[in-house]
Amino acid sequence: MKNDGAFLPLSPATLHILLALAGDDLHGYAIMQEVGRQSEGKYKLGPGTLYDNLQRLFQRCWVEELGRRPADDDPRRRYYRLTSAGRGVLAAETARLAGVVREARLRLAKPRRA
Amino acid sequence: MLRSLYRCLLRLHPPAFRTRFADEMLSIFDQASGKKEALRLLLDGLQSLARQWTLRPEFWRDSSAPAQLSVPDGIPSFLSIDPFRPRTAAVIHGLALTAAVFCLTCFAIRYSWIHVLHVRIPEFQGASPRPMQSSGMAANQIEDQIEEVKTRPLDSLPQSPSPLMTAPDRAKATRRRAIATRAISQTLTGTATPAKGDARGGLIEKSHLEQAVTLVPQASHSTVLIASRPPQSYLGTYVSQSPERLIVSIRQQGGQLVVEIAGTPKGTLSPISETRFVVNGVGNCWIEFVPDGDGAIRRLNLFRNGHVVSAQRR
Repeated sequence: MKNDGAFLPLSPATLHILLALAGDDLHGYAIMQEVGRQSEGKYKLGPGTLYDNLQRLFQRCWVEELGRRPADDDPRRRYYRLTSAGRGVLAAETARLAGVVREARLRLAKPRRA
Repeated sequence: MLRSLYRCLLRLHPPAFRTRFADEMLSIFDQASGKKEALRLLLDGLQSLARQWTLRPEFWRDSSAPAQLSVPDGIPSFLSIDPFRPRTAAVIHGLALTAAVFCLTCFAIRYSWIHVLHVRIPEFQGASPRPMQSSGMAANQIEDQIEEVKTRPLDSLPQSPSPLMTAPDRAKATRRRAIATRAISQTLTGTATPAKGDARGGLIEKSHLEQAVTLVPQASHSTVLIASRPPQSYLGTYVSQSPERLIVSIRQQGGQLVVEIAGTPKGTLSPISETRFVVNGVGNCWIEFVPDGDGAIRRLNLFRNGHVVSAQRR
């Protein structure tokens, strides 16, 4: 996507949500659990923050809501899926972060001149 | 209880957000284990509420609501009322602004040094354009006021405002007390002056009590008195039946009734009504003549310093 770079860098919450949805279609509570697992419990996403971000992701068409759900599931739950546009943005952000990490490693590897 | 609170928080969110996410947020709350986790979610809900109303105006309106009324095919429809509705945010801002302006105005009225809003509204008395024509009514008012003052002597008026009173009530009580004090002293000393409002066709600014005292000028007293009852009917010596045998003698000197009460200086009588007189020169003293069945006066009541002494004509 051409305009992927316009939205970068992503906020930590948006990045974690997109990352959580990159693996599977999840409902809200599962996204929160997945974010906690990815960050090893260092980043806790509350429902307010989650749905505030989801609201904007819907608007940008990065995430869509699934109509179908498992029959035995809580009817209040809704499932979300990452769209191709969202996947592209996540890829662009990952590439950006990879560059940052590479640059940081290079700089940290060099001994500092006194 | 925490669940109810959380539910209330969700209800306070903007309609679009609430419609789309409230149920799912509540399901997440139901899955929370422990009070600590529930409190954390409650705090998160508060933050979300503030965030949605302050930072997300673009999501306030429910996009799922129909934008226009559907028109049935072939049937013309007319809209006579503009379907425009103000945004919720605009209504909230307007409410907050109105409340702020109202509070500021109240504060300014209460604490301003310049009382531009202190307007005195004069009392209108259409039935008594001229004071002398209303002397009969004035006499009635005077009687009523005297009765009130007599039954409620000055000592019964509150000496100091009650701590339970509000500031305006306290000021009103103080003002009423001052007016009553002035009216009584004017009446007792005979220095009452005609009311300012007389020349304004019945617009009288003074209070009823003050007006009652001042509407009857000194010069007209004897006229009213002589016209209604001859002064000779009051003359004589009155002796009380009480053990101290108080003697009150009333004479006529130079067209005025003069009263002599044993143990007090001489004073003149100013009529308030046909039977009631103020004793000028003696503080807080009134005389009421009590006529018999045939109209002759053979008894008087002396009101002095809150005490009443009855005396029979000798």
